[in-house]
Formats: sequence, structure tokens, C-alpha cells
Amino acid sequence: MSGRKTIQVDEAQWRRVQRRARQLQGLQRDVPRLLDDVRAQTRADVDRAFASVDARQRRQDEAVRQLSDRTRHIEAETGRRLREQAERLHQELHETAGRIEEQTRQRLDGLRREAERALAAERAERRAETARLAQEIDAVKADRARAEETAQTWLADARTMAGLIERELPHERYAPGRLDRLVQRLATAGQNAAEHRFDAALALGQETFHELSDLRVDIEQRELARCLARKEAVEALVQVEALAEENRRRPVVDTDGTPVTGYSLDVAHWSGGEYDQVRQDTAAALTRARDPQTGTDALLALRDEEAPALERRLGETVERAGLRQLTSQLRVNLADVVAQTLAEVAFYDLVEEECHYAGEDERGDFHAVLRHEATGNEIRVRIAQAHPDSDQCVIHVETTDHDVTAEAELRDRADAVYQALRQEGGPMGLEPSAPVEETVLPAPASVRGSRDEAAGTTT
Amino acid sequence: MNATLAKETPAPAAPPPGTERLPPDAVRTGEPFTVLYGPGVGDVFVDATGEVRTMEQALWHMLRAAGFERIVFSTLQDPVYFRDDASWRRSRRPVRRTPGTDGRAGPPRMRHAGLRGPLGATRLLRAEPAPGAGRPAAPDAGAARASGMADPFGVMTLTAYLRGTGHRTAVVFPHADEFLLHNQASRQLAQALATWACDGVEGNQWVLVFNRTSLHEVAAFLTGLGRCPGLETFVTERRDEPARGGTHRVGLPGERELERLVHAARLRKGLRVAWRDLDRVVRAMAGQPETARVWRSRLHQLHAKGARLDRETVRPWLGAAAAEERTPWERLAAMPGTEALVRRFEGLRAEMETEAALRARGRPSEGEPPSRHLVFTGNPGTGKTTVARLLGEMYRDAGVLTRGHCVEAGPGDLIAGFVGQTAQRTAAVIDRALDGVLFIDEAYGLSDQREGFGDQAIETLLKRMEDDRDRLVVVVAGYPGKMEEFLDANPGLRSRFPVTNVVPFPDHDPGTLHTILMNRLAQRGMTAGAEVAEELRQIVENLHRTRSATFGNVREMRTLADAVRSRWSVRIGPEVDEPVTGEDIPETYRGHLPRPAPDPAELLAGLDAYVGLAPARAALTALAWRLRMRQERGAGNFDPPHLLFTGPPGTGKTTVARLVGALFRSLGLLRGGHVVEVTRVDLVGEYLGQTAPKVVGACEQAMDGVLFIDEAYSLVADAGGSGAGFGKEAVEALLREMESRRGRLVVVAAGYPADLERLLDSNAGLRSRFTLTVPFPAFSPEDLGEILRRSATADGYVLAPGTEERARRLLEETRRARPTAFGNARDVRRLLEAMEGLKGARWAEGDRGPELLPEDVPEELETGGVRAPSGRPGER
Repeated sequence: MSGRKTIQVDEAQWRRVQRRARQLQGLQRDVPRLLDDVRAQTRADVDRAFASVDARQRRQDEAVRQLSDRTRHIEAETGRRLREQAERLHQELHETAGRIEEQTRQRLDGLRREAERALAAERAERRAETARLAQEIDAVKADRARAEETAQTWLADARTMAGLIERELPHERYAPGRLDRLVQRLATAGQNAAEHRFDAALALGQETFHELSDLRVDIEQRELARCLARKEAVEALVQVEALAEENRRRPVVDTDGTPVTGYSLDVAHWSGGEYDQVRQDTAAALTRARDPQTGTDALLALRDEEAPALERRLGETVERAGLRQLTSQLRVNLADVVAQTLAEVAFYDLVEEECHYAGEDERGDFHAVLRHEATGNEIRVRIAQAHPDSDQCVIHVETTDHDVTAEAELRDRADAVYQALRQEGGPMGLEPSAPVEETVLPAPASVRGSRDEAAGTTT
Repeated sequence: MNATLAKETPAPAAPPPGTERLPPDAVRTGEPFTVLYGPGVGDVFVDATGEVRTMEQALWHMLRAAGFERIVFSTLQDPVYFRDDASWRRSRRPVRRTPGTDGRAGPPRMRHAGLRGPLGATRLLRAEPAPGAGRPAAPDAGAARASGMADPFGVMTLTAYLRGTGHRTAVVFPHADEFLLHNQASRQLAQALATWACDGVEGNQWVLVFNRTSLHEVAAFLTGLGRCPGLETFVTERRDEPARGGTHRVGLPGERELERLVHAARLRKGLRVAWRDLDRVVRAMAGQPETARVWRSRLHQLHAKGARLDRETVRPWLGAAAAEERTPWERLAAMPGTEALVRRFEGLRAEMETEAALRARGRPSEGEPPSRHLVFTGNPGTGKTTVARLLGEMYRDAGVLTRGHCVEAGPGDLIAGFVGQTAQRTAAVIDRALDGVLFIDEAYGLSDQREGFGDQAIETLLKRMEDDRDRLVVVVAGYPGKMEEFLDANPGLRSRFPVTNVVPFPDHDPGTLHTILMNRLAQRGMTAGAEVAEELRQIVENLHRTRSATFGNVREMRTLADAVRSRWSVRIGPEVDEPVTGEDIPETYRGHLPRPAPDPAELLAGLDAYVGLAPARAALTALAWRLRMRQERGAGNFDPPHLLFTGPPGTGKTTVARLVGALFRSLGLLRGGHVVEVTRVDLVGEYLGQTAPKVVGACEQAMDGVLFIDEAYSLVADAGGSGAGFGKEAVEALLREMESRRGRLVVVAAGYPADLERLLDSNAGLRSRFTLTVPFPAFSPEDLGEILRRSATADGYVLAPGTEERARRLLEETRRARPTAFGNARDVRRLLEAMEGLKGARWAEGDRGPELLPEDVPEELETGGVRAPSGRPGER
């Protein structure tokens, strides 16, 4: 004869476990190491980025040297300032790598404003220069040849500048179509010159040159800002990556917060793929951050949204993994308690060799078999979570009695088991629900004295 | 089984020998059950090694010694538990259990070492450290128990163990009463018991320990419980046939066990022991119906008080028995008046010694050994109880009884008021007396019962005397005559108490009693001078002379001594050196002091006022002179004789009877001297069974005085008719009383001489009892005239000349006309009344003189309604 019962255990300790696991969310941060890691990576990244800035600026200097004497010193001065600003930023970022702090940001902001002020002063100087040139134009009106030469010089400088921008600067990213419009105006100025309207060509050429010069400064400024954003995005994501790596294995802490020595939490294993996904997503984000094509806004989004989201996901994954590991242990603990109780209450002893996790996977249900040595009667117990990651646990009990067939006696025994679990559970916080009978048709072999094989399956 | 656990278990050694009270043979019976009961249940037991063990431990050792390999215990609290590791191992799967982690570093571990989770054996669930399930400690430590085992599983498990054939298994219920009463799986249990009773596994046993003193009580309990018919049948059968195995009575500790107990207290607690007294003290301890537990506590008390175990310190518990230096034989010999008894018991001892010697030579006498049960016959206070106690000790010293204590009981202790209880009650008393002496005082009370359950008690007693032949000595005691009746009440009694075992305890002679009395006075702190001693001797002598069948002997002496002491105390206050004087003897006892017989003439002067009593006076004068002569010759008093007053009615018999009371009192023959007048109506009942009590009642009333039976012949004048035979019964009862109250009751039977002759003829015993006949002849006419004259004078009349003559003539005529109805003095009185009537008529006519004239004498006298004796008028 066999009978089946299900007892749901609403257990305060499950909640404690969960609380404990929630603390895992506070990811493990070994700050010095993490800082070293992130700093090293970010510095490399910053250096890489500024190497290209440096190369570009050198190439710009080459181009500036081709300018006429009239504009060369001005543009050289601008170039020097831009280079100086980039160098300072580079240095700052290099130094602050690994610690994105508000202070750093403010300082960088100040730096940027200082550079802008310097450039604005230059621009004012340029305007003054242009005004001087305008008087010059009036002076050369009479001198056509000189007028032509002046106009052609300005046009040539403007063309050099346009070429410089075209070649060296990501104008399409920051000022799409603006260069084209300026080149168009330059062509118009060239046309004017070809038609010997040198005063018109000169005015337009001068204006266009200034515009191109502004464009150059503007692009350079923006590019530097992108560099900063990229650095920050990379830094944030690298930090997530480092955290993920650092939290791949966590020490185990029991429900009281005491570390369980000799065991670790393999987050990748217990998260069931979630951890790997977080890693993959982080890697993809980092790739995007490092991509020169990625814009400043996207970089800021990576920094401000993607990276924290990934970090949060990582925490949750670690929490779930820890919870699953602890609940798995609790399942076998509960089996131990049930076996102990049944040993005391009914003299059933655990058949150790027949106790196992479903599919030999510790993440699954736990099956235990108890046998009464003298009668051969068996109790099979399956302990499962009520549903995945639940704080409730369900004990399925299935009894197989060979010595009696009397319904009343079997019921007495089943009730005794339930009562015992209820009473014994008390001090440990087990609060079993009333048992739910599971209707089972008696198997044909379930006669007195024969082993009921058909009853071997659990509910 | 892991190594750590194996270490905790002591290496299996040969089990130490158990105790005498729990012999392994008790369970080697082949019966399916062993039922243990008795006063020793729940006691502690001292085994041969001096270990003091609880009942449970002792049971374990007993069962182990009996060859049981697996011993399982079960109580309500712990349905299945073991006391030893081996039994546990034979019963449980070898589950590896984590040894306790208490006090060790590291997280708590799961209890089943074979279970592993992702964190190994780590236990995250917080739990109280629980004991191993049913896991035993060493057998003598507190047993390990399964906490909270459910009854259904308990019964299932126990049954399965017993059904198993692998190991010899005993399942022990140390508290079977409670277990059977409150087990929640009674259905399963009843079935298991029933099945087992008829289909058990050989060698395996249920051992049920009932906290009941007798098997009767166990059976009654099971019957009342009604839940375990199988077991009930088993026990009932054993109760009725004790020879069958399967039950064992756990008794109280014997001498040897108690000695071990003393040594245990000495060695373990440091109790100091007076070696010189040890044997005697231990022997006396064994004589007490106490458990070893009580003794242990007492010994510890002694130790706690810093006292030494010796005969003085145990006195509060053992009385003088332990302090007694002398052997029981010496004490018996020292008892006054027991010379005959000593010879009697020496004979018994010789018999026992012979038997022992024969046995020692391998030639035990065949057939039943001589009965050791005794009948003590004798009055109260003759030392029967004391001797019974000594007898227990003597039997114990002779090795016949192991304890030798004496349980004293009366019929009331054996007989119950309801059907079926008597056997149980008797059995319980017998159980208490096992290994000792059961002394039933006034045993005839068992057979006296007309409608009571005395027979049942006797039946039970006889059966147990047979069944427990080696463990029980019964002494029945009572008045000699009554004990004869008792022994005749059941043929079994005669065979158990052969005539040779009847030991008479005669009343003590006055000398002995006097010695006892004087000893008693001395014991109570009084000194008595020679004069008082002599007075007391005389009182004792008189008490002894006038003793009844129920004379209290020693007891009377004790009462007397206590009465003296009471008055003495009042008189002397704190001056305790003041000796006892005559005034300390209470008046009631002083009546026993002989008084010098006064001058008979003086004594009988009272008779002078009466006419015609010369023959009576002569007889009584002779009696008085006889007594005086004896006194003067120093021969002491004699018992007052019973008297026959023969004569017709109205001749002064009643009057003289009253004088006789006073006379005998004056002569010192009676203490009271009052007269109780009775006739047939007062003595003979109308229904069966009324007569004897009536007679006894009348005699009781007349005790120390005179019972005057008028018309005594009428007692036996009832041949035929509804009351036939009751008169005869009355006479027999009267004879018994006359005998038993000899010296303290004078019976005067009065009537016509011929009638009294017939009465004496009706019973041979009567004639020998009535030793003095006092004739009361009919009055002569002169006497009648004189009576008339004295009566008239007394009333203030004067007989005128001629009146007396005329009256005498009338009286003579009347007597002649109706001789049997003539009432003598009574009719004279009647005549005077008639004359007074006639004189009254003259008084009306103005004659106011005091004279009664001849004409006042009527013509004819109506005689009084005196019954013609025997209904045979005309015989005279």
C-alpha cells in the first residue's frame, strides 16, 4: 500500500536565505585592484585616442605651414593652443583614469572653458586682423595686381584650410554639410577672382577662411569632448567587466552571514547562463564605446545608462546564483531534518545510496529514500521549490507499507508522520501546511509482503 | 558505524550477574510473554558486583544474562529505545551520523553524514541539537531515546523486531500499566499481542512490567482495561494456575541484597558501619517490608547526618528488633510462661535440622515435607503474636524462610464486601507475607461468616499455601474452641494444619501475670512497695480466677498498669520518686481485693424481715460459713455457685435472689451483685439465630451479678410447635456463658422442684453446673397468717381478733381447692387488698378505725393468674 502527501513548507529561513543572497547584489569590489585594472585599461585607451589626436594635430601643423604668412601665424597660434588643450586633457585623463569623479569632471570642464576663452580671444584677434585687411583692400583697389595677389593668397589659404579640414578632421560628424557650403563659397570667391572682381573675391575669401578656421576649432573642441566621453564610457564598462570577472566566484556566506569555508559560489554555473549573457553584453558595449564611429551622445548613454544597467544585472545575477546555491543546500538540509524526524518518530532510516538530486544536478529537486529496517516499509521524499527561485518549499511524501493493508493503520501512520514534521519543524521555523492527499490508484502489485515497485515514482 | 561512535560503546563483556529478585530463569520459560509484578517493581536492585541499578537497568542485565541479543524498551514517552549499542546496531540501518559538533569550530553539520549538498554537509537550517534517534549510551547510563516517536510506528517497529528471527529479541515495557492504558495505537497493539500469544517467534519475548503487587491485581487491571484480550487471557490463566510459567513476582530485597546495598553506601558514599552489628542489622532490615530504594534513602540519611549504621541508629525504622542481642530462641525462652512452647519449637527445629542433614547427605526424605503451618490457640494476650514474630525469625535463621518477617492480619483484612474482591484482597495480603509468616489472628472470623465471603478467603489461603509452599508459613490464631470450629469449616484446613501443629497458649497463671504487671510498672517508671505488690497480687489472682474465655492476660495487666500509672501521675505530679500506693489502684480493681467475710448472721439479717425463709437462710448461712472458713484457713476464695431455687410461686424466691446478689458481693464472690430477672421470653427467640444472642445479651447484662431465671423450666417446655428447639439452644448458649463467665456470673434458676428436675434432666451439663439447691417450701397456714399480719401492719392496719384465723382458713381452702394455682405470699397480698376493699365499704358508713375485722375477710379468694406449671394441672 502506498499513500502520497504533499506538504508545503513556508519557511522563515528561506527568507533569511533570500535576504542573505540579496546582499550578494552588493557586488564584491576589491577597490585597489579594480582601480588598477580600470586605470590601466582606461589609460591605454586614452593614450591610444590621444595618439591619433596628436598625429592629426601634427598633420594640421604641416598644413598650416603651407599657409601664407598673413594667416600662418594666427593659425599656428590656434594650432598651438589646440595642441596644448589636447595635451592637458590627455594628461588629465591619463591621471584620472580609473576614478571618474565629479571633481575631475569639473576640472575638465574648467579646462575646456579656459581653452574656449583663449580661442575666443584669438578669434577676436583674427577679426581685428581682417578689419585691418579690409583697409588694406581699400588701399589696393587701385592696385589691381596687388589686389589680385591678395585675393588669390586668401583663396589659397582658404583652400588649404578646407583641404586640411577635409583631410584631417571628422567634420561630417560634428558639422555635416558645413564644409561643403564653405567650399562652395570658396568656389564662388574663385569665380569672382577669375572674373577679376578681386574685391568681392577677397571679401568672400577672407570670410570663408575665417569660417573654416572656426570650423576647425569647433571640430577640434568637439572631438576632444568626445574623447572625454569615450574615456568615461570605456571606464564605466571596463569597471563592469572587471566587476563581473571579480564576481565570477564568490565566497559562500551562510544565513547568519558567517562565511562557509571551503566552498565558493560559481556564479556562472548557478546563474544558469545569465552571467555569461551579462559578460557578453558588457563586451559588446565596450566595443561600441571604443568604436571611433560612436558618437558622443551614444558614449554618454553608454556611460550613464548602459554601464549601470549592466552592473545592476550583474548584481542580480550573482544574487540569484547565491540564492539557488543556498536553497539547494537547504533542500538537502530539509531532507536531513525529515530523515532525522522520521528516524526518531518512526524508526525509518535514510538509504543514503538512493538519495540524490534530480539529474545529478544540484540545481534540481532532492530525492531521499527512507526505509524501516524491520518491516521494509519505505518513505520517499522529494523536496522541491514551490516554483523557481521561490521562498517556499514543497515536501512530497510517498509511503509504501508492506506489513499492513488496513486503511486505518496506514492513515494513522501518515498522520503521525505529518504531525511529527509539524512538531519537529517548529523549532527550526518550518511551518508546514496541512498535507494534501494525492490520489493514487493502488498498484496491482501492492499486496502485503510484496515490494510495491509501481509506487516508486514521486509526485 | 563510524569510528567515533564505536569508541563510545564499551567493549561487550560478559554481563554481570543480576540480582536474586530478577533471575534470568524468570524469562527462560518458552512462554510468549513474561509478566513481572510484585512489590519490588520500580525498586532499585543491587547486583552481585554491588552496583545499584534501576529496575530498567536490572531488567536489561537479566535479559542479557538470559541470552537475549537485542533488548528493546518501550514506554509511553519513548515508544522505542535501547540501552545498549549492540541492540541498536541490530535494529537500525547503518546510517552514518555526524557526531555532535557542539563546542567545535565550524558551521553546524547535517546529521546524516551521507547527505551532501553544494555546500557539503553544512547545515543552514538552524536546529536545536537533537539526540541521536534511539541511539543508546552505555547500558547503565540514562538510556537514549527517540524523541517523539509516534505510537503507531512504535507498535509497528516493536512488532517487526519481535517478528524478526535474526536476533533473539526481548521487548520490555517497564511501565506496562500506563503503556496499555494510554497508548494511542491500542488497535494495533491489541492485534499484535493477540497474534503473538498464539503465533510468536520462538525465543523472542514481550516482557511486561506491571506496577501491581499481585497477579490478581494485574488480571483485574487487564479485565478492567478490556483492550488486550490476548494478554488478559494469558494472565488470567496464570493467575488460576500459578505453576505455569510466564509470570514472575518481583519481591522485596533479601538479606544478601541489603548487605550489598549497605556496602554500596559504605564504599560509594562513605557511610560508616558498625561491623559488629552489621549482620544483625541487615537481618532485621530484611525482615521489614521495605524496598531497597527506601533503605538506600535511609542509609543516605544516616550518612548525611554523619551517623554510623548500627543497631541504635536503625532503631527508628526497625524498632527493638535490630537492637536485640538475643536470638529468637533466647527471646522465646525469656518470655514468661513459654516453657512448653519452647519445647514445642525445639521439636520443630529438630525436625528441620534432621531434614537439612538428610538433604546434605543426598537423602532427602520423600513425600511432602511436614507442614510448617501452625495453629495458635489461646486467649488474647498470651503471646501468640509475639511468638509468631519470633517464629518468622527462627524459620529464617533455620533457612526455611528467606525474610522471616511477620505480616499480621485479621479477617477484616482478608474479606471484602463485594463479590470477587475477597480473593484479590487475600492474595494481596499473602503476597506481602511471602518469604515470611502470615499471622491471621482471630482466624475463626473467616469461617464464622454465614453469608460473607470468608470461604473465598479460606479457599484462596489454602491454594496459596500449596502453591507457595516454600515461601509461606501461615499461623492462624484464636480462642481454642473457636479454632476447632475454624479447622472443621474446611477439610483442606485440617490437612494443612494437622493436629500436631496446634500449639496451645494457655492463660498465664496468676504468678506470671503478677510478674508481668510488676515489670510493666517498672518499665513505666513506677516503684511499688511490698504492700502494694501484695494487693496487686491479690487483684491479679482474683482477675485470673474470675477471668472469662476472652481474658486478655498480658493485655489486662497492661491495662491495669496503665490505669495505676494514670492515678499515680495525678497524685504525685513531678515527684516521680514517690512510690505507688494502694490509693493509686482504681476502685474498679480494688473490688477484686478480698474482704474479710462478714459474720453470716449479720449478712443474712435482711432475711429476718421475711417469714418462712428458714431453709433458704440455712443454705446461705452454710455457704457464708464455708467461705469464712476458707478465708480463715488461708485457702482463698472460690467461685460463687449457681443456684437452684425450688419452690412454688410466691415463696420469696425473687426476693432472696436479690439478697443473694448483695450477699455474694459482701462475701467478695461477685464484684457487682445486681440482679437481672429474665424469663423465657427474654432468652428464647422466635426465629432461627435470635436465641443465642439473646442469651449472650442477658448474661452480659448480668455480668458480675446475678441472672435470675424465673420459671426456668419453661425454657425447655417447647417440644413441638414453631419454636421447637430454640429453648434447647437457649440452654446450650446459657451453659456456654456460664462456663466462659465462670466466677463472674451467678445464674439462679427458679421454679417448682419437679420442673427444675426435668430441666436438669434435659441437659447433662446443667446438673453439674448448679451445685446448690435452695428450697423454698410452701408457707404453712401460720406463716401465711403471719405474712398477712405483717403486711397489714405495714399498711397501717390492725387485725382485729379473729380476723387472722378467718383469713388463714380462707387461704387454706383456696390452696386446697387450687393447689397449683395458689400463689402463697402473692395471694396473701391479694387477700389483704380484698379485705381493704371491704373495709372501704365500712369506711363509707362511718367506721373510721384502723382495724380489719373478720367480716372484712371475703368468702372466697380469687387466686392470681399464676400459670399452672407444665400445663399439667392436677399433677400436684
